[in-house]
Amino acid sequence: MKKYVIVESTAAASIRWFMIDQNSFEECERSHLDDRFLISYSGTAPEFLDNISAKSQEYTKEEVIPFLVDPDWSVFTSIGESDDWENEITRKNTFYEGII
Amino acid sequence: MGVVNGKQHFGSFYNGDFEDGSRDGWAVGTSAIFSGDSNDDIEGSNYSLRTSSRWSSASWNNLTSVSGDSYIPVDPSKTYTLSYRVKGYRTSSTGRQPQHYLGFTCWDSSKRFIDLRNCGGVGNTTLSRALNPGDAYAYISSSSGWPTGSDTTGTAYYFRNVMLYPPTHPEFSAAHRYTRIGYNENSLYYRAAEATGSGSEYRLRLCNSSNNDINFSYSAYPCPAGTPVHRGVAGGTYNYTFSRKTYTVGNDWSTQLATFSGESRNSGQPFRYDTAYLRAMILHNYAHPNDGGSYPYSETLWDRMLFIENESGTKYEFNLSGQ
Repeated sequence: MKKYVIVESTAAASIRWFMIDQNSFEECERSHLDDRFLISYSGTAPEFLDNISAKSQEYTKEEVIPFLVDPDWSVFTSIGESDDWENEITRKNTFYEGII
Repeated sequence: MGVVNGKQHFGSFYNGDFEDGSRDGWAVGTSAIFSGDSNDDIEGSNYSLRTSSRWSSASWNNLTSVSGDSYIPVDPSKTYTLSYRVKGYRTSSTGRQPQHYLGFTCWDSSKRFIDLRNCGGVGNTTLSRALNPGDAYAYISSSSGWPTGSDTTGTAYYFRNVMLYPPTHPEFSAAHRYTRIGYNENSLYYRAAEATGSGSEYRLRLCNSSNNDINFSYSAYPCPAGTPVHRGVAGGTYNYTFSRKTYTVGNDWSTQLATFSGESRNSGQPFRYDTAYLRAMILHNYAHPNDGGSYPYSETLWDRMLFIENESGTKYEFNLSGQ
């Protein structure tokens, strides 16, 4: 099963890309302010993560999607508390279900 | 009407016309300098920027002028014109036309992003009692604009920030304009709002974003009775000045142009409260239905990106002849 970790962008230089699913910072899902990015891997956590403190805990796919479907991470085009907002949440959930 | 002849450096955007053949200042997202082909109807023989778009993930996120020098100082009391010149170049493999949200992003004097939650305008009221470190409850003078009840957690947490304007705070004391106290700094939410029976006063049970009870811990500046408060409500992330646009392939270049001044809580125009810097914003994800992954994606050409102080409200047009 894939595992996911959110890393602060300041730690990007410490990522050993050949040990994870992504090949570069540019390829990663990133927060809209570019201050955090998402990495994934299968099996046990790669050792280099032990040396990075600016990171989240390890998540499953179901656990990490709410962080990506959140105005602190994702760009929203709807006005808050409107029906459109709920639709946008739904679309984002569907999208991330399919892509990460 | 003002006329600008030829491709020349004009306005505040760095490399706004891509004249030097680079995308410096506009390098985020999936984009490349485009020098034209035999069939593109490009403006003259010089360069423009070509972008790809889809309903998409963050790695295809907004294209902004993000280089270190791309923060453009603004004075919201003055009038500015924002203008982008756009042309649909190619549909996606599924035939979808290029679409984008266009506008700008707002940053404060310390170059911090101004989120809607930081802006007053929803649930504007005051503390009816002093709020001190260690307090479990905040008391507000009116519940107008606030979800109420013994359990308000049915409303998403990002619509329930308790935003404070400490009267002696050097930055955030101006009532119901812009504050980061309650979101970004000392994050504060509430999970219940119940009438105390004293006039229109309501009592807010303070919590964190996970709806766990917390006590107030902010001590940098006092929050006495009368301190202005608003409810922090998330919304449209950026300022979508030109809303969502479709650029039908085969049509001529179009000019998206807006002239505005002033400040408010908004996701369109004018500036958000306390904006000190602006950056360009082309959001080339989310404008499409979720058909991400179909390559080639739709493509758009950009040129003559203009942001200029324009007190007279002059409408500028580029004279394209003779290039």
